Amino acid sequence: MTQLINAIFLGGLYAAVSLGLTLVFGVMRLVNLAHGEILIGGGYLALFFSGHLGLDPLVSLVLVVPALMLIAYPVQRLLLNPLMAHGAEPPLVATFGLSIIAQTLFLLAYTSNDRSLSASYGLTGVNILGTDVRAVLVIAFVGAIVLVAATHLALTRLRFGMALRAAAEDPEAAVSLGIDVKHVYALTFAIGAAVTAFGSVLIGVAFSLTPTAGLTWLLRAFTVIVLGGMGSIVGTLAGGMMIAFAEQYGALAFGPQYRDLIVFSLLVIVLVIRPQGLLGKKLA
Amino acid sequence: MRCKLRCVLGLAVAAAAAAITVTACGGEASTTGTSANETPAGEIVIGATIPLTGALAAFGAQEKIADEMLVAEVNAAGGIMVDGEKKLVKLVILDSKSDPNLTTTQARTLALENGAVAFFGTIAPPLVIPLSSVSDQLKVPMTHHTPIQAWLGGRPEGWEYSWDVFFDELQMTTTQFEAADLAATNKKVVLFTDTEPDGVVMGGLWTENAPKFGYEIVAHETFPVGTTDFSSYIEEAKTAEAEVLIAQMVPPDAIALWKQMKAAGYQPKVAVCEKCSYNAGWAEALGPLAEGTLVADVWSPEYEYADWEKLLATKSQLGGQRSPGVSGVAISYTVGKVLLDAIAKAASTDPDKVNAALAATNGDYPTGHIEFTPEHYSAIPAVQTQWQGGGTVLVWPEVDGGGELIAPVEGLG
Repeated sequence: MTQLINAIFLGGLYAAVSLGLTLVFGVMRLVNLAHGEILIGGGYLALFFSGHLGLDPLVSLVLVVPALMLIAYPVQRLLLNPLMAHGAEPPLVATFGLSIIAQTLFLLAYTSNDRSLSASYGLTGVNILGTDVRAVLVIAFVGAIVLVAATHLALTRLRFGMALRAAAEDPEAAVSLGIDVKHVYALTFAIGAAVTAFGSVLIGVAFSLTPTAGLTWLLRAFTVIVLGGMGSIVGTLAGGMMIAFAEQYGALAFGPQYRDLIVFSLLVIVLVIRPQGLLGKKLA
Repeated sequence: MRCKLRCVLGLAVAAAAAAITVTACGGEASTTGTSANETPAGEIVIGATIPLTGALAAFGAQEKIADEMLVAEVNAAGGIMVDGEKKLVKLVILDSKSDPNLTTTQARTLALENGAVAFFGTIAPPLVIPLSSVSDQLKVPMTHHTPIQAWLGGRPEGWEYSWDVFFDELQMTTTQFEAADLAATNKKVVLFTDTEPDGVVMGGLWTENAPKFGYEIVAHETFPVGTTDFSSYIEEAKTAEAEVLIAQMVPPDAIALWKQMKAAGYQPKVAVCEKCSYNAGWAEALGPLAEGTLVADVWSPEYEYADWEKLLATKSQLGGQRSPGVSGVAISYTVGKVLLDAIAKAASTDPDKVNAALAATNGDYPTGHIEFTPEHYSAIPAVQTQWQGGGTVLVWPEVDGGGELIAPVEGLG
């Protein structure tokens, strides 16, 4: 029971840190290798705002979200959009370069020492069916469901969401219908960063921030979205849960040292049986 | 036109990113003693490939402070008499990015291209062992500070040009129990060790040593680096009523563990966190939660060994408080000084003469008396310090000027 409850809430956190990556891939087919740095960068921004303004880390999202969007929009519009015209590789390499630049900037600003966000919900537990669950994980779980539902509804019900889906499915046809695809792409990247900000704060509160920690989270986020279905918003939640379940029950059955082996074996098995992931669309 | 401009701008930024990546992969170089482009024949070049970025960057920062301070002092005093003339020391530092492969490449570059006649070493066995291999292959004498048994294990037949000054894990893994004896506990211990080589070795040694000191290991949790959820382990520790916790983990995992212990209401009477709490980042990341954590150390200003005031003053560059980071500077300074003293004693940069002078080292240094064994190491007795008031205080052994162990662990209360 303890494992089940822990997996559910941890799965929510994994989904929260992966949602932005799903959104960007789903709309633009862009594999954003700088996603980990957006996560960590958001955490450092929250650290900055909470340190200087005395804000609670979650409240600091009011400033972190627009700040990340202001950075992300021009990156996509001025750098990645032109490169996407040359195929999938140039933007991939560019996001890798951006991740290195970001790591260097984090190192200069915050040194290599670990930092973390201080909040009471990071240090208190909630008893759920006899199991103590950290309050921050409960917040992560609830927040992930809200974000996934809101993103799904926005994509399916709102006019902008429809434009976004049109740009994703057939960019040329979307242009002919008067949709500014470049603006849609840039806005998608910015929204992806905004959604990621929630995961940033969760990581900072629940764990810690270091300039190079982005890679670890990028790998986890990739596993989540591949398992859940590349580009599938709801699949991200499913992928997060799958990873958390595999970690918890795999460690229980085989020992914690086999955690990564179990998770990545699961990834390979799912890819063989269902290459598009759990809830992804069948690949052309 | 707009598209062209944007494309050019995009490509330019991508190129800049790629350029930074390439530079980063190659490691940045810094030079102390003369300008970077100047290498007069009359200088003694010392190479150092240290982790200024990556997982071990906190240690590299301490080493850089010590290496540069030492070279500046030697040069200010006119340099070292070699081959009948006083020569200045030129220090070339490369960033190994905490990568053993890059460490090897850079060490060869330092010796073969920069003309380094000796190396200032670093701390972590995964970096020191490949560095020692290069030192032996190219006959470049080197001094370093890394856990002795782990380093000796890197070449069972023995090292030739590489010399170590640090604590011996066999002694160090008894200090946690000796410090724990200062508090009243039920002597039940939970171990948290990751699956890295040092975690495995230390876990084994603590398991072996516990009964000798009357302690019982009631739970031994092992896990890979990068573990995020420790809740089931904490429950086990609580159920087993472990009042002493000993951990050997990387800082990010340990920070997660400490936060989760606090959230789960688990407050051991004694909590040791080796490796994880060995720099100022521990207190920076955890704040009040760090209070009460114990950690082994290799240098104590309380003993008032040579240069202790000057070395203690480097705390201003490392967060402002005394911490194991300051000890990192002290031990780096010490091993560097041992090497430069050997060159001075040999009055030559000939590797065999310097090596012979190193073997004959017998003197007092900032970490105490240094005299090498035939196996090329000089063991410093490890002590135990406790995080108190945002810095560390020597609590074991009990000496004048030291502090008292605070139990139970204040930060987890």
